[in-house]
Amino acid sequence: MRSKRFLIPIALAAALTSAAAPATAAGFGTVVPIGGHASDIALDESRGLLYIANFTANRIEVMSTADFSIRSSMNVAAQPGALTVSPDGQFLLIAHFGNYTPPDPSKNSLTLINLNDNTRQTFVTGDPPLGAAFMANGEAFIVTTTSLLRFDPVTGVIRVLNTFANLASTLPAPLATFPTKVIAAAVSTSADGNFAYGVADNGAGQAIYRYAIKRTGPFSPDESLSAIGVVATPKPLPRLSVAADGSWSMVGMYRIDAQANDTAQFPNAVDSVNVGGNAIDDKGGVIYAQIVTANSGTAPVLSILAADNLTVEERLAIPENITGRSILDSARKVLYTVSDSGVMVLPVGSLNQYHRVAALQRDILVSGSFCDRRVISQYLTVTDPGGGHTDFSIGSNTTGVTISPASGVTPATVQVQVDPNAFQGANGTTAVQLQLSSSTAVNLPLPVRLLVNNEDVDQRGTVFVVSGALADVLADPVRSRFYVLQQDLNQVLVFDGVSYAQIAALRTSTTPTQMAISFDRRYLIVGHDNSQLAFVWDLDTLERQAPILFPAGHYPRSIAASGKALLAVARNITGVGGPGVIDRVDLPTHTATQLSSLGIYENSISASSVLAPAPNGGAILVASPDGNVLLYNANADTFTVSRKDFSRLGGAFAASSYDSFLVDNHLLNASLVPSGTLQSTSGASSGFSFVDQWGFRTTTAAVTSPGVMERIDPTQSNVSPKPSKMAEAPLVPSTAWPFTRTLAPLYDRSAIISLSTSGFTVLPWNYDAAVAPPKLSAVTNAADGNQPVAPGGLISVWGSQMSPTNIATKQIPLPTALGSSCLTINGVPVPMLFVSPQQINGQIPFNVDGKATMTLRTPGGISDNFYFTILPAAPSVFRSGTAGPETGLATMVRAQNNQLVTPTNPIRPNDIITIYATGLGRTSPEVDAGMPAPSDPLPLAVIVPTVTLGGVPLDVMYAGLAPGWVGVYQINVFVPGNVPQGLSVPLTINQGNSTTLNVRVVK
Amino acid sequence: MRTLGISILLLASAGAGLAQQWELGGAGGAGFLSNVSVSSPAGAATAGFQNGFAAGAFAGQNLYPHLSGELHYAYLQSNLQIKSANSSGTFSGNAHAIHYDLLLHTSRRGSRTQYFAALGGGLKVFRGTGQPAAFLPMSQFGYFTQTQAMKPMASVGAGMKHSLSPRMNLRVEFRDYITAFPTQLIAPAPGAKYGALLHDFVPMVGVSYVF
Repeated sequence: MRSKRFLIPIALAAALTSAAAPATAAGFGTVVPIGGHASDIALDESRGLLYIANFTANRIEVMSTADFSIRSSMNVAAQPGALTVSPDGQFLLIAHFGNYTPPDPSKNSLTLINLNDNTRQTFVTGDPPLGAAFMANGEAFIVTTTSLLRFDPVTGVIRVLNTFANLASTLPAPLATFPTKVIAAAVSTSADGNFAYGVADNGAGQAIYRYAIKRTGPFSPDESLSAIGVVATPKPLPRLSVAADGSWSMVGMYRIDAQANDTAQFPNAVDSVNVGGNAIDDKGGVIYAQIVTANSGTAPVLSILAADNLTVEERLAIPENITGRSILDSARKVLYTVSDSGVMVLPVGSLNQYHRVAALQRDILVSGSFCDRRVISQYLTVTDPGGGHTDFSIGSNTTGVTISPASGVTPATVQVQVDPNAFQGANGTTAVQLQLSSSTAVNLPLPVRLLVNNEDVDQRGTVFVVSGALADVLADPVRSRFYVLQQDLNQVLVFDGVSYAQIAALRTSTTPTQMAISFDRRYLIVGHDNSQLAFVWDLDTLERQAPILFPAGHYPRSIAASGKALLAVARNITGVGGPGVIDRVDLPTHTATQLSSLGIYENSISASSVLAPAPNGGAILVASPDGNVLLYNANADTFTVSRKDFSRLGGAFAASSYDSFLVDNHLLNASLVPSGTLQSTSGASSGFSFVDQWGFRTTTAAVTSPGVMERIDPTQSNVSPKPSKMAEAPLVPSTAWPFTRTLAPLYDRSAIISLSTSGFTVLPWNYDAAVAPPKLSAVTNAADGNQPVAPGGLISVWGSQMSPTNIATKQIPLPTALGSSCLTINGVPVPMLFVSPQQINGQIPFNVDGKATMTLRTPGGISDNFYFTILPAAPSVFRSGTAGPETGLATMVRAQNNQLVTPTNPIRPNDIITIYATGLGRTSPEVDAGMPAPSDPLPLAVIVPTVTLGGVPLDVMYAGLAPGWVGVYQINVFVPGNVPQGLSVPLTINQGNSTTLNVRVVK
Repeated sequence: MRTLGISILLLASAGAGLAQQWELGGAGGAGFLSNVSVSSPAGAATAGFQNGFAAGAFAGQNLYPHLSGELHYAYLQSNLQIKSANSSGTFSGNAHAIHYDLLLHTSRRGSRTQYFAALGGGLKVFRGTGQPAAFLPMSQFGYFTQTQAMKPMASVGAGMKHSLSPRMNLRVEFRDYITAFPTQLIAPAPGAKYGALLHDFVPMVGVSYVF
């Protein structure tokens, strides 16, 4: 949105004249046809009525909000274009648009109806009135084609607040022209009536007004009027709703604050002739909107957007298009909108009473591996968010993917089976869309992304699933963290640099594009393609700071910090400068200004240009897809190099602290002169990151591999890297975003993060080091560390060179290849929870017992056979409980207070104790290894244990797998009254093999 | 002759304020409990009970001019406590004491003010009333336990009765209730050794009705 801003204090308003000219599925809801074209609506909640301006029939239709019937019609003067009801419900004010050719000023009027006694008065405005809204003080704020007016309904006095150039459209209009297109203006107020926003369009640009009758600050007047003229692209329809406190409004697809800054705009929106509308629900934190986008299709859709950053939370199929004002009732239950047929009533507050369908998981990852080519099952939960029973069907046409059941009624668990052999030829991860649909659901469910990874033994890295469109990755230079930009969900995900677990999500504005860290390492700054703001977070507290405000019409896409200046490439739609310009950011004042020039060069670059900062703060590289490269020198505080040696550039971009730069496959020297070219046979450029004087590089998938990583030393004249295949392909550039930053080496040099198909892939720093073959030395149960183990039990395998890095997984089912390790017992793959160089935790498959042979395969080779015995049952109680500072406690829980049994929480007669253990052996029904135990039917231990306390048998109420857990069993026992008491009473679990631990018993 | 003597005494005391046979009263005060020492691998500490209010009732019978017998009940609010040099932990608790004492008076019945010494015995019921939890503080020294323990008790004390009216006495007394330490309530942690005897010093003030 391009704008020219001017504030008009009310005292001066009358003196100003035309100088203020604008420089600028199943259906959800009920349609109420009115036999004409609706131009505006007004809600009278005290009477339970909705007034509908029937522009072409010259009537005000009166609709009951109880049954949505048209109860009566009030015949009024020609072309009722706008309506408003006074706050006390006494007056209905109607603005008549009478801008005919030839002109007849008498037709431009206001009709004031006293709703208490049905008396009417008419007031001629001269110029056509476009919009009207009653304020809290009982007066109406009126926009005409030439002026802003105040109208007192009691005295009938009209006062001019401001005048401007003519906005008028004339009648008669061409066929099939909607009234709202003729009027091309709207006025709305905040819930308290203290603030009115107006928007009017003269065909060339839009004028946005904000009128306040309340002091908003110590230095603000009691009454103020501000205005801004814009030429917005895309052009907003005059559909306006105002936040309850008047601090911002939604104008078409733009979220505008009180200073008319474009804080967020809906991505991919396009010009619409007449379709669109919005209503803000402040309390619910959402906006109901229909916004036409490039890929909207023809079916009308109501989107529920997050109020702060316009993230789409839900999409609902509605019967017809919204074509004018939308009003949410005060209970936030019903949305009334002007629509094609007249009015549409949408019960948005009762959404849970309608059928909807959604999958709980957005992505599911299925990992085959080089040592396990069996069919893999994953489970997907399909639900109705309102808790109802809704029919659904889900399907995929991809060979090798079987879904069962493919249809049903929510809530339901769907099994997705994948035959890895069908994907054997695919490199890396194949993404398959599972389409979810319902004949009765009113929402449009998102598809589920099925990710099939078929890692081979020579592929490196561990895949972590992150949903959505990932746009950038950045390692924190001083904290053990990295940041991933989730562009479609408008947030920065913060991950721990050791566990790779997400530790925070930071909400951005709309369409975040690139991150930067300030040179003092304190702040994270995020630019947006659809906001005039860059967001800032304090990295120590992860609290958001005041945003950086860019000039109107500038959208900061790429930001980089040097030791001297913080620069941003902004998409520029002002027409002043190029399509992309470089702005300089002043972080203390949170402002940015356009550089008048780039040293001796014009400040005109591609809007898709990107910035790469040198880690030492000495320089910032600018790379453009048209082949231009520039260099900002921090010492000189200006741009010292501009070259164009290439016809196009894309992919990776990076700057080192040693005067080396990389763009695409080209190494550049300190003068940005090409100094080398990297091989391109393994794929297109995706990621590059300098580490000291060398760097890591990734290329995208090719016929031979799913992408490779290699180390590059730009100081070597002969660049001869050693590529290593990755577990899955790094992200690829697109037409919209030709440059990609997909690689982030962690600051502690423990691992490298690569944005990839499923989310990100973690590669150990020494991913390409020669690795010794693994050695196995012991197998123990994972509960108490002793040697007896049983089928289905959790075990710890001890040895050396078992994995190049530490990786824990929460993936379900447990993967049989984790990191680069694959463990088998008697040739059967072992599902694993954790791998490290010295220890692997996993689950013994249920179908092996007796004499067993274990082998481990890693990139270093295959281990020698390790022989051990698997007993039918070998119960052992976990020692993983914690209480206060106490650790290593036995996991026995008293049902009385749901706390661990300890000497200060002793067992008592009549207690029910739950004992968590492993090694209870096979179950009935059987459960697949690596899968969590179901809750229905419960999998009971085939060998029922006996449990004694001080020699007294306890009543075993349940013994079997713990529902929802993998390899964890639970035994529920009842303690009778005759158990002996003492500080150390033996509790014994016996299944042929027994385990004993001492507990305190008190009576 | 003996029978006559007693009859004469009864007759003689009929008109005097302290000459009645029975006495019923109530008293309130505080309990000051001593702690026992704890030695354990975790260091040194003390275990016992916090000071708290006390209230009770008694019924007495004058047996001889200088000797009376009394049945006493006392409720003692006394939270469990373990303290070491740097930290402490507590657990809600109380106690009930019931005992029979013989009181040896310094002056004869009928005197306006009588001093007495008391000696007797009974039972004390200690109760831990806090909520059990997987972790409670000071568990390196001992385990607070929600339970009760009954202990034989020795009662030693002294006091003073003062006649306020012919049928009303003011009474000030002091008792030391001596019991074995209730290890059921504060169970010694493995390796910890506790002192054996617990003293509960209870000063009380009360009134009694004599008839």
